[in-house]
Amino acid sequence: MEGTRSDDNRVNLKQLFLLFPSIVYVVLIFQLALALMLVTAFFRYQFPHIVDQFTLENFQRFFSSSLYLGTLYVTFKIAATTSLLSLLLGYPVAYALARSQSRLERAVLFVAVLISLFLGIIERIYAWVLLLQDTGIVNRLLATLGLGPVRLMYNEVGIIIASTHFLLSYAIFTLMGSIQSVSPSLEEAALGLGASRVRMFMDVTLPLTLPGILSCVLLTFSLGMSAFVIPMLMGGGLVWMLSNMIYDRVVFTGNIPFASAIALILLFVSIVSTQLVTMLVTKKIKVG
Amino acid sequence: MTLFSCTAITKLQAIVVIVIIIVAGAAGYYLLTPKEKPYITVTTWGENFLDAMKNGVGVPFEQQYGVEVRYALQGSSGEMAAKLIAEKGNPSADVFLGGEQAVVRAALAGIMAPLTEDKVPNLKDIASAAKPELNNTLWYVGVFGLASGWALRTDLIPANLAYNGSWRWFLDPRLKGKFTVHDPTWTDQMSWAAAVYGGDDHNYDPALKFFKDFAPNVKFVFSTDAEATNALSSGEIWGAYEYATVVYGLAQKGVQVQMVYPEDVPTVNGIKSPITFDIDVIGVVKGGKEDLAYKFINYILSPEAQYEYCSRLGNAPVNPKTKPMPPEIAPYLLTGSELERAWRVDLQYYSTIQDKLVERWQTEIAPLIGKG
Repeated sequence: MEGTRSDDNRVNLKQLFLLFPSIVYVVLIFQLALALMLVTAFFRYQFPHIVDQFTLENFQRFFSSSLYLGTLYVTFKIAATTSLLSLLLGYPVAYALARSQSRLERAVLFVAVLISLFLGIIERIYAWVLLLQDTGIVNRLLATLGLGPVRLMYNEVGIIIASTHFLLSYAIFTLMGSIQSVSPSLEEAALGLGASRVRMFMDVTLPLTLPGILSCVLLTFSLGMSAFVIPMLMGGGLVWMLSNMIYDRVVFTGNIPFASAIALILLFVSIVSTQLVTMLVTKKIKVG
Repeated sequence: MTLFSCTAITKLQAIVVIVIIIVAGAAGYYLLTPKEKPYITVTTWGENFLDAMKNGVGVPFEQQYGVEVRYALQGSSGEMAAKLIAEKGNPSADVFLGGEQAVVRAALAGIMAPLTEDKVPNLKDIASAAKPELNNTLWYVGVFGLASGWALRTDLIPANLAYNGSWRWFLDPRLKGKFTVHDPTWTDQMSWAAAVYGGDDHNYDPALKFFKDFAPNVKFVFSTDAEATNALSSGEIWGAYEYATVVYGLAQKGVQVQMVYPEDVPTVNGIKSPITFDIDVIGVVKGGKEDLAYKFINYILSPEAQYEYCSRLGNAPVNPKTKPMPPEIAPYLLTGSELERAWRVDLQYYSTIQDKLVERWQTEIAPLIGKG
């Protein structure tokens, strides 16, 4: 027994030693940067210098302006909508990938999902611009059918479409793992006992894949909240998310304290939202 | 034992062999790799700007001085200014070439090294208008002059809606959603709009009033030239307020686009019907390879480099000793009576109010755009 305990200690030290570079990296790059941002958010900005004088004016400015509160709302709305759409569109594809008996079908689906990850985000966005702008392919098609034009760019619709496309691959791969972990024999047993496919899905598959659904929602929502390039290029300067506000303040006005305050608020809202969703789903899993 | 039979080696012998291989490899790499040439890093925008810098300035400079020129690409000089300020003391670029507004910010943040005639002899030939001092010191010098105005796809505009030379044409309700405008981080457009409605470069309330009236005719707001040029070339919009050099680049790609400067804009600061005019500027970043940077700046200000650089961009050189620009660039340069309309706005003042102005734009103007 004594020998076992000291073996465990050696193993733990070894693990710690192996983890040490990653811990240092995370602490230095992320935690230190976060701490600097936290401190800077409480400094004053007097063009062109940051004055290290404690102030709450950056947060006061944010919360007293309908512009910034409105942007927070839009950011949350777009992230939540994108996350939900990614889940709803991704689940059937993930299910097909996990359950398909045909190797060819699985291979084709897998490559189709994977291939979109090979393209850079800028290329994908410009492809959407070509498709969705007023003179784009979608509207030209609608025109030949005597419909449209429909405004699909420079508004929330375009941003949601492009963001969902971007996040769909992440959603599918996250869900696929969870669905694969559910033994097909459980589904077969339900069907054998007379359950319809819908009942089987609702009572067996869906509850058992809730952890995967939670991971999918957390991942896509977090990425959605921090979206920057998509609203910048597809928002047309008319729809902003908080990350665009942060960028404008840093790059064009040099107001880094205010940008830090916005970043902290974004981080706080993201953390609270994801924690709430986790609590709700975890409660559901335990009750189930 | 035969020649090819294996003998067992110890762990220690294996480690020794591996270490010898690694050391020999490293030594070989070090000895066989040619010594790195001296180099400097210059900031520039992409596309035609990069092409002009590389072929017009960088390559000849390298051939003459044996110093390699590398390029740090910037989507906007504001972005580069923010980066260089954050890197203070250890910059990733040695020469900062950018819009004057951004370089002013960099200079005020203390990251630029002063320019003097003993370090940059060609400074003595440069027009004084291209050598603006900040707090009695020259931190940057103009590298070319460029006008900004309205770029119009005259080939797409129907004959009954043809541009009539007046700023009022832009407010025609039949032109709903046919324009794009830059976000308010760009001084020129805001200053032009202020002038149109009776303001100037110290009074931007009229500019906001103009954009409220213009908003229904605006489809979207752009932050980078690429967004505007893509929309102009696809025909998504018919007009954009842009730099002449950007329009020149677009015209070179075969897009039928024309620069226009409305002639009935009210007089500002004694200038009749002003045309906004900038100088893009260049300076030495403190803490970089300053000696080589001064050499580069001196070179780019020489008549030969000015001709090669500006003729590729369609911009006006700042060195009066430069030979005349090719005739095909004339439509993009201010010539004759247009030169008297050139209006250089107060960028330093704009920098101080920009934060609040951007906020007002986002609150008062942006919600109205594209809703007409």
